[in-house]
Amino acid sequence: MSDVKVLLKRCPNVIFLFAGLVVLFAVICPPFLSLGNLANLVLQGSVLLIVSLGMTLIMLGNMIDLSVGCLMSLSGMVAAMILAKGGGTFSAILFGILIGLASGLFVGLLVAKLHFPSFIATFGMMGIFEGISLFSNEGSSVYWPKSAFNFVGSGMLFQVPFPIWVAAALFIVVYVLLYRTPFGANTYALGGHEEGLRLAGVNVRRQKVLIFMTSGMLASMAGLVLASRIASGHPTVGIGYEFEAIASCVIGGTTFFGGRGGIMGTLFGVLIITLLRNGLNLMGYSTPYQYCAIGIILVVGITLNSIYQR
Amino acid sequence: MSESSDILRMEGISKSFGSVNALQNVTLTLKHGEVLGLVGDNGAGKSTLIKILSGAIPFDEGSVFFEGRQVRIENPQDARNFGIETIYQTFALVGNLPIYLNIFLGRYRVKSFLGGWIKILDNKRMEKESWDILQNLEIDFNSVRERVDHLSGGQRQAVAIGRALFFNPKIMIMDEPTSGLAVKEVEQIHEIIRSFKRKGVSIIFITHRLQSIFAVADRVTVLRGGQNAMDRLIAETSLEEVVRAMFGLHVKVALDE
Repeated sequence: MSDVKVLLKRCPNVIFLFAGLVVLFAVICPPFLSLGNLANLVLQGSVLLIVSLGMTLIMLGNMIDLSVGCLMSLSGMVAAMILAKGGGTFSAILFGILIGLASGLFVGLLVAKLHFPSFIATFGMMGIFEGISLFSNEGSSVYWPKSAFNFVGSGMLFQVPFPIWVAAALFIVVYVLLYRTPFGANTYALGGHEEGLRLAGVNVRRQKVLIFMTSGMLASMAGLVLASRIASGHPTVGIGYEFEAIASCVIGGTTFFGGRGGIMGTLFGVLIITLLRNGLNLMGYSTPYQYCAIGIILVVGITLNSIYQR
Repeated sequence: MSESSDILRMEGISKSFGSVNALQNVTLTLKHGEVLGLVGDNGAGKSTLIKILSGAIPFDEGSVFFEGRQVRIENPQDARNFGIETIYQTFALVGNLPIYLNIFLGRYRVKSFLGGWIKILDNKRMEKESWDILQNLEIDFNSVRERVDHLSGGQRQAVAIGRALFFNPKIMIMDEPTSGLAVKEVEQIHEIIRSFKRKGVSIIFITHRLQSIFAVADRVTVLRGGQNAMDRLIAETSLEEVVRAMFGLHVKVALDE
């Protein structure tokens, strides 16, 4: 089988849903197709893609992570406070990412060693992260003097916004991780048949911790890019990303039961959600309508996927 | 203590699940190159005993000697490291992965980069080696890239056997390898067991089919109610004696088979 065919097999039917939406918006609202808007669309999608890559790994392993949105807020707050106190860009990024790794380690240990259901463990962490983010600056945003960190979210490299480069690079890294390494094979096996993986001599607990750490790291990176884009640390900015990430995965064909799906589908899931928001924005529909639309497309996507997989 | 002809000796093994004593002071020995049949009624403790040996569950009391030395088997990886491979009744395959990744599950062939920091799956090599091992088992497969949940029962069993065989085991444990198979397929399994034996592999196999024991085993160990009930060479026992040991002395034995 050629590589193109393998790639196509890994892109589920969401491609058609995506194409349909593009045509729909292009017809109803011609400015949608302008180059400026399309570039903006990809830029808007890059933060969601980064966090959704991690969510895909989690869901392939038959788990869920509700804490990624609030972890994004927290990482952004930490980086902003470091910068505001005169710290460098490097340490802001380093500590932002360390927060993600540490959180992933902690959640992973709760799930793997103490057998917490991931839903409960991450639901708890969601509250804790949000609380700390709000506490840390008494609920208000943190601003910093303009620094190199601003480049992460609003810089341009070869005339392409930097967040797009970050998202593309991380997509490739996660692609290799998932389809070319033992870690990836173990992730699929964990979701497919956990006991089978354990009996094959694989340390299942370690695998779970590693997945949560990877996802935590990706979420904190998304939080850093977002903080840099809005040029501030905002304590509630990440709220809602966990649901959009889960929706992106599900629309893209990754199931709640683990072992099925992949990141090609998630890429299109992210594009579909971003496109819906962007298109509805252009047409003057505000956030409440956008939530409804995402809900509808989620149901449509799941229906299509279940027909497709049968 | 362990005699030098024993490859394995499990001594005084006890295991309870809550208030249920699954195994009480059970002893099991396996000699080099021997085929041992492990039989018993449902709930006799056969599966518990082999799960302990394969590292799937821990035991409460007792000791395990492998090639004369006392060893600790605390997880499936320990058992694999000693060359103890298990073919579970359910095969323990991962349905959403292709055949070749199931064969190499947890023992992937990789190419290392940057001094071992980055390990990339060597899919080509795993596919080729999987194909070769399955060809030896004479069961038809279209491609080793096929996902396991698309395979028939017989093909799945072949994958499970291929996986156990691939890493040159010293001891092969087979849990109910003939359950649910047609007569012709049962004969195939017997032939596979004999071929393992010819390669010098020591085999423990669990079965309900006593005919299988008499067809291929050298010795039989019977468990009843979590305790040793009998241990005899096949040449020195009869079907009737085994059945009596399995169900207790007072059962009236009717052997029509």
